[in-house]
Amino acid sequence: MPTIEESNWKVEYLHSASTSLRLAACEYAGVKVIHAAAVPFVYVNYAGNTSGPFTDELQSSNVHKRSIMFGFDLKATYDFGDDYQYDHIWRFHEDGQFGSTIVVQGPGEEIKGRHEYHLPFRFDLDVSGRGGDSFQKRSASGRWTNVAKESRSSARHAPDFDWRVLDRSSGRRIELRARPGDAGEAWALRYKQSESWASFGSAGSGVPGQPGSVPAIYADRQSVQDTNVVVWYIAHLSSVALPAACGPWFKLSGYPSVPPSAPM
Amino acid sequence: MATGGPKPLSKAGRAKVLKVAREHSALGRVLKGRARPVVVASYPEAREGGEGQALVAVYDYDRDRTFVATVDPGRERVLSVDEAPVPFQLSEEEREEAAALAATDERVKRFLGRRPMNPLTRLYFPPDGGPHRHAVVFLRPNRSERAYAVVDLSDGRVVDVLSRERFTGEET
Repeated sequence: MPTIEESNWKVEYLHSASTSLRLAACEYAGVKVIHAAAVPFVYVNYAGNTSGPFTDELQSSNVHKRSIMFGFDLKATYDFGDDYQYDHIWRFHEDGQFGSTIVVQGPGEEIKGRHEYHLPFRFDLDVSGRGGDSFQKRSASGRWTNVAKESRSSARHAPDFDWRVLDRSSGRRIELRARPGDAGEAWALRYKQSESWASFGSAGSGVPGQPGSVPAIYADRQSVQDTNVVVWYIAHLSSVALPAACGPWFKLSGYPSVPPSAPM
Repeated sequence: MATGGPKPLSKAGRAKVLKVAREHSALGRVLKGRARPVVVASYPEAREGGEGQALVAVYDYDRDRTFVATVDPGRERVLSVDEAPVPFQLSEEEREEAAALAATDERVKRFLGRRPMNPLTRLYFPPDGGPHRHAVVFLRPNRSERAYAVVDLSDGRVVDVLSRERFTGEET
């Protein structure tokens, strides 16, 4: 499996003709950031839901790595011919920012804006490296508050960061924010083996984020303090305005500082 | 750029993992019935049981349930077998089976005529579909005409063929 070492990052990734572009262990400045991350599927439903939803499995044997200003990115294209296409970009900046973006190109099976896309992103973050991470969200007053139990919350603060996973002993933090227009929501879960299978595209019949679907079926009010925290971010996009991009953005705090690259 | 870390399973690696899974007593019994593996893959997401694991997901069409096994290929051992709460995406074999079933349906034949099916097949959740495993086969004979065959993989039959208007909810 390829490993990229560039722009202060070490990024392991997997992909194949039968799976999406997934991340395995990722480090920034030699310190673990991500244990695993994936966009397991795209859920599509139509207005009125008269005929039922389907899911698009993201598969690509073709991944491009690109050097860009401030870092690099990986791009996979999931091309379903004349009907529709998704582009998937994992981007890493040399200052520790990173993100995952799906571009929904459409057009889809109809072009009157009568269908929706629901995209779950799964991030098994690893700040402490010992299962000692905690989840917080920004309160209405702007202060960070502990989230005691597994639960969901909506984004409200962009361009500020809405949520964070931290290791209190080291002071390291990974903050994330929703992309405006995503109607984004975050779920904080404690790692469970069954939940990790979702990386391979296990999906319920309901809209992601709703009861009975992923990731809600894995949430049983366990603590998300001082444990292995998995963050699910779900974007809900209307087909009214395609092409459209969605996905969360992250920044690191308290990680080793690295001098910026010298100008060329 | 360097190489290292977990690797996608090779053809031989996949065969080895499946052999270990089939030799497991409970999973082997399921696989001897009307069941098939729908995922066989490297499993770097695992946080328990050590590195280098593989994951095998098996769909049991007789009882409409999914089992997931974690496998240590190095030690040739199944580490765990559990029932998954929700189904996985369709395997390539299932997509091919769904398209083959659709090709035998008279409604599909009428729609396609002598044109190619050019199928695009997806995991599908029809209203009132119950616990069965369904696929929807997009019939794409050209760039614009579409119909959609709903295939019940648990029963091995086409249960409906939808027009674009019905599938997308434009028909009221």
